[in-house]
Amino acid sequence: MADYYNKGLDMTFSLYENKIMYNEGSGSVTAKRECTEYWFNQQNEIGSLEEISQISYIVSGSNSYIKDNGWSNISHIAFTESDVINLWFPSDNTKTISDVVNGVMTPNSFDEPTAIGLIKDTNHLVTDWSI
Amino acid sequence: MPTIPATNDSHINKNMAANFGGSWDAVHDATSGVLAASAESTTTGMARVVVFTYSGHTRWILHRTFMEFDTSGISVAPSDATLKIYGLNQTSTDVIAVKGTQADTLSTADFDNLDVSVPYSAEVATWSTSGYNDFTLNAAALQAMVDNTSLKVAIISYDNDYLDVDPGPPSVSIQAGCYFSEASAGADSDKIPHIDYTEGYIAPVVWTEMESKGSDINIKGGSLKIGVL
Repeated sequence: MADYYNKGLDMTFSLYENKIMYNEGSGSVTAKRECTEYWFNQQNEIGSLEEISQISYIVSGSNSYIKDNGWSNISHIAFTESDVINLWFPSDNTKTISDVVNGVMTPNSFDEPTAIGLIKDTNHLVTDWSI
Repeated sequence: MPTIPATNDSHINKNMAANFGGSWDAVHDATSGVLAASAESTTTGMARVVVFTYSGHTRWILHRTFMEFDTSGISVAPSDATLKIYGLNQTSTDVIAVKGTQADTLSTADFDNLDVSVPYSAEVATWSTSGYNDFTLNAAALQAMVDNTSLKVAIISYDNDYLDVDPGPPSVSIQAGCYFSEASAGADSDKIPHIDYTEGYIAPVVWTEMESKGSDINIKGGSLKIGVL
């Protein structure tokens, strides 16, 4: 786990009592605030939940920080391989990751390595893959 | 020939679906993206453009690579310089090096920190996947090596990203891969990006008479030798 300074935002993100905190400028200081969902929704510079998830992953080591902390509007984000399958086949629990791979290969005429790479790129918060 | 290895090198991508505002313009003009994991020694997506169907929706992915080179020891513009990047894979991708304006530590917010109005090379239309690919650096890059303590470069797709041409409907997948400086720790240490350059030279100026009236003569990085013939 490490503090993370984003020069574009001119903010430093850090971990305090298992919460992602932020402060303006480079380097973690004593006076910092929690990155709450409300705070995120007021930000113009952090464009997506995926971006704040990536920041929280760098700082906390968890790829599901926003999910674990109950943020809303995350139903389109996959945090595990099972989420990837469920998002693609929400009403069929017999499907596997191979069906997702085929779902990318067939309509796009991509080979398997290309399809797997695109699935991982598209669901970059997932860290444990079986493919 | 002096060599400068790359530092702060990685790639950033923007990946957007049509049902979440995705389009070619949206990814091309995005101000931030996903930074590749650190300690990545290679990528198949150095410069990459993908348009594909995913779960019933069109998606666009655009990858850009950033790197920088320590030029603090260069005080005279090199007479020539070549950016050399070891290739990994390739699918119909032409690439180009342009001026990078990224932060000293690459971040997600650097996706659009490049200046396509300042190309640092011509289009590189062929990409070796088993050797170094050469970007002959132009005068703007050579001057930037003198003017700055580091040369910051972005490598992007030429046909789509540089020219801002929509690659069209699915399915499109064009990309070129490369090795990064992280490879220096392993068996591929001979494949890291670097710049080879030829040191510049300023020819001596010979005066028969030199005069200063009411102003100083500043001598930078040299000395004034006065001899008797």
